[in-house]
Amino acid sequence: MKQSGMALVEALLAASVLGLGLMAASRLVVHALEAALHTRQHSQAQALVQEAIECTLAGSSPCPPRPALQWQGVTYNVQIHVSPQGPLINEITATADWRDGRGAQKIEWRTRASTMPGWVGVSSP
Amino acid sequence: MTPDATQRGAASLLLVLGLVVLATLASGLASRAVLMDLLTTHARGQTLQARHAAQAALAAAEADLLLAFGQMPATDPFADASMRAPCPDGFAGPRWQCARLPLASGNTWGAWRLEADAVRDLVAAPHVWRLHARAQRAPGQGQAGIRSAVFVPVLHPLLADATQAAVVLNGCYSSSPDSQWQLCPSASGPSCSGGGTTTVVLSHFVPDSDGNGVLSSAERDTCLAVPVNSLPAGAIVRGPAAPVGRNPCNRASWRSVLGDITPEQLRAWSDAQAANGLHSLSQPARSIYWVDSPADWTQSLGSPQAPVLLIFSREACAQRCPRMASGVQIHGTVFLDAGCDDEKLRGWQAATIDGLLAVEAGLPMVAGFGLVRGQAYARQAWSLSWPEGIDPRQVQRVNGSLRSDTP
Repeated sequence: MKQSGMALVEALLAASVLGLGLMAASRLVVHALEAALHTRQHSQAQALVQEAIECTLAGSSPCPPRPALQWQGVTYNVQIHVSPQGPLINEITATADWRDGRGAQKIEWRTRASTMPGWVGVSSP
Repeated sequence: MTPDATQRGAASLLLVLGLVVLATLASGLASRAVLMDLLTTHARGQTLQARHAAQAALAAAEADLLLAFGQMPATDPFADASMRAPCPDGFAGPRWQCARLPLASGNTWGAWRLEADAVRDLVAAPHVWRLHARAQRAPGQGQAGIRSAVFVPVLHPLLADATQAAVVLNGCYSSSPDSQWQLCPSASGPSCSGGGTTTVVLSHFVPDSDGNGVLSSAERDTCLAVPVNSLPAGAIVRGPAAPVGRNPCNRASWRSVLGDITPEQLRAWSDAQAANGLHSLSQPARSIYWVDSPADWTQSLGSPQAPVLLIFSREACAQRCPRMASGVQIHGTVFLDAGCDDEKLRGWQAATIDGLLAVEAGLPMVAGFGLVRGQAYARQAWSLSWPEGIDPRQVQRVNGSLRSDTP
């Protein structure tokens, strides 16, 4: 009888150790999944901002080509702002903002472009 | 407790611990993958931001050039000795001239330090400037470089309809009795015979002696009195179709040979080559010589593969244009800027010129030995590569020239 009782105690102990360990591991996995989601969203936002900047530098229209994008349940809003820094140079600011589980997120990148005209010739040196 | 029970308990414990370790390992590996993903995204973001900062440096450099060439007279950064800089890797040697651009909008941009260099080929493409821009943050926080090329209005394209004559004048021609000049068209070969009916001498000015508004054959023959034995059979001596004025000097020879290139541009190009260490024996050899000295010329220059442009300026011809010592051979073009004053070239002596002799005046009473052989490579020294139809008066980006560069 005493031995049956001990087997039950052992089983309970084993189950609780296993449960604690698995709980800890699962929390780790949950945090990793959240981080992965945040990274994916950040990466998508970077791609949109880069696209907007390249569009502006290339002189294309409209810029940004995708001012609002819905991707995997998240809406990204992209904006471009061009401000003259003088008669010959402009500062280009591209922002992307979205909302996730942590709240409002935003990235902002800047660059500059001159007003130098380009020449598309028949041949170039 | 029986020994069996103890063993079962220990086995259970080990099994449980093993399962916990496995679960922890699995979640740890998954977290590691996520961490790698996070670091990669972060690194990519830093790289892109570094590239944007380098683009900002390039924009600042381009704005500097627009500013420098938007004012008159244009400011040439390469002409400023204080801006000289070591050339980047891959641009060693005297043919490359490099300058550190000051970046009027500033060398810092937020946390970034910006730099830009201009590099050009002084022999083959002085009008194409490569801009190398770099941006750097604190060590380990990102750096990037990009480069681009721009056309700069420091020269002009070659004339499409440039004359092929061996001698170009802006006045009359005559020989002294003892002169031994030979004028050969480019098709005549080294023996100066044959060549068919090609123009050997072209003059942009023949005086209208009788003032009737028409140039007669007699007037042309009197002005362009090239002895028959100075020319191969069939060679043509040509003058203008109608009378033209030459006072003030119309610079017709300069325009017909050099087109829209200005004396200041050629002088600057010559000075840049000399200052960068190019000379007649360097590799590559110097190609443009602007001479202000009135001393007679004693140096042979150029080769069929590397012809030169030798210009004796108005200053050199202030009293009389420098003569060329016997034995001197020039491959390329020799230009004498006498400002339409024929007396500065009275009794002028040439040596051997393989290419083109152009004079901004006439050649009265040429003396001594002179051999001018027209050559197809006469204009090669300043024949640069320009896109068809380009406006050479503007600073313009060479589209498609943007590249990544080593920071």
